[in-house]
Amino acid sequence: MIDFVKRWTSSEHERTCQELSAYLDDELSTAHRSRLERHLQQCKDCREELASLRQTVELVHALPSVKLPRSFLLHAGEATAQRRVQRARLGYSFLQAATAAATALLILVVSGDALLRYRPIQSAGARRAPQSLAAPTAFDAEPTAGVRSIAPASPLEGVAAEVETSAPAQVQSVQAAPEQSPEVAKALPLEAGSPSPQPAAPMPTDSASQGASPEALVPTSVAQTAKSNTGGVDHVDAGSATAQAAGTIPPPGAPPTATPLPQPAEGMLPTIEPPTVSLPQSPTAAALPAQTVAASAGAQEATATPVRLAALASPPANGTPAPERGQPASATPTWLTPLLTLRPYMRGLERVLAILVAALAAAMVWLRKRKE
Amino acid sequence: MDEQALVAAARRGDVQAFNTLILNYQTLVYNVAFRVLHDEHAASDATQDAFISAFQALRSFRGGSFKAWVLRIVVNACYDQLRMTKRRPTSSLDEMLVDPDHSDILDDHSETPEEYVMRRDLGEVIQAGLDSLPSDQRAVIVLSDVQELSYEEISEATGVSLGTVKSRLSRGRARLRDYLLRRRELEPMHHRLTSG
Repeated sequence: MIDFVKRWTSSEHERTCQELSAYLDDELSTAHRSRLERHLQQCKDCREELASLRQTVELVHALPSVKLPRSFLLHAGEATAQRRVQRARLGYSFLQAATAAATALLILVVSGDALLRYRPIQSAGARRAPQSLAAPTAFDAEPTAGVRSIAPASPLEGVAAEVETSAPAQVQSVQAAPEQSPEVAKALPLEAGSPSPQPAAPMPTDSASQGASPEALVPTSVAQTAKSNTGGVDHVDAGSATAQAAGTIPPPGAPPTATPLPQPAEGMLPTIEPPTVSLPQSPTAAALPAQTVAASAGAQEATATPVRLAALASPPANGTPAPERGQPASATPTWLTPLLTLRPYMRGLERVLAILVAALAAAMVWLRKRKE
Repeated sequence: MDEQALVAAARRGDVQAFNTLILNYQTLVYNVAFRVLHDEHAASDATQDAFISAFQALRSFRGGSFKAWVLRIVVNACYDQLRMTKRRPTSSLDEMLVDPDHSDILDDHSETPEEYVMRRDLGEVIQAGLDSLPSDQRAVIVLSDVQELSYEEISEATGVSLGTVKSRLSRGRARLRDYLLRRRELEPMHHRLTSG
């Protein structure tokens, strides 16, 4: 009972102390006021508390008024000028935010572009290397100038040298018997491809498979030899070689049905499917004359790109079919696929963003100078 | 012209009418800003910004006490200043009190130099006590005990309820009282606090 009275008295004291401030300002209701006054008569602590608070309020109230350092009147032009300044401040803040946003977007696009650019090359390289090592396709097996022209462009010179050293026998046989029958010529790639665990590459398309000649799989060499045979072109430059690799191959004799590939856009993936070429079974196309080796020597420097494209287009060594055209590398995560579709536009976007950032920065500098 | 008419004219873009209102309130507004910020330049900036903001925002003034409305703007400007500057160390109270150009303390010839020095010292201690308070409690004490505004006006000027005003005032005063009682052992003015 005594504890209860003490607690009740204590809580009453705390509540009273909180009310003392309002009591000093005469902000208590009549009921609260009379109750507090009754408590004050009995509680010495509260009386002392009230006295100290009153002294504090009086001291604060005694603080002198501060004189104005200047007049704060607005001038007629100042009010509108201030509005202009405020508007300029707002504009500057907007410019700052826009510049920051554009810069961040530019960094994002550039890094994204770099990421996309890096990934396909890496995956394509990973795909290409095993083919060069273990999958001498029909192209590799062809002991013509195409093989010789591959050698300098191949990233694996040892493998290329091996191919070259193993090929001369067939080349010589071809040179020795330029009038060999097509059957013999068709057998040559098989012999040349014998070191490889994989036979000749599967035909990429039905139309290509209809062409019994192995040259149907080798657009570069076929194009070169075909041109040499016709005698119409003595020198194959890079552009024409590329065009030939893309499938526009004028065969000797009957014109082939060629499906030209669209020229890849700048920055596109270098995954190009083999050209769909229908070549007639022509003994002249199969039996390559020895002169074509010398005649197409001038095209050696121009074969790097077509050869790489042909190597990419050929199926990998493990027998899995090559990815379809436009499809990213198999290692590319799925979340990256939609970004790949944006890639052709990224260069333009980068330029636009760079110009935008530069313009915004210039506008900020101009505004700052004007403000000063 | 009464205040409502001046406000109405200022809302129509009459700068002279608004200047009349400024003349009526600039001392009050500046004093509140100075006591809250304890910095002459910051207080000047807050006061000027408050009047410019008030002129530009007059369309949003829905009537009521123009004084409380302007005080609310300046209190918010003070909070902004405090947030921005994070309270730089201040020593401007000395300058304010000693500078004869800005002080009328020495004009009171009934006050002896000793009394003046004592009062100046006391003023420093009290301002230091105000500076030690949280900004919300300081603003309420300045409005109540320095400028003697009513609870309703303080509530309107600070944008909080009456209960919050009472609570902040009670806690702020108790805290300030404790601060002054602690300082009385260091300052020769303790007898004023105990015997005053």
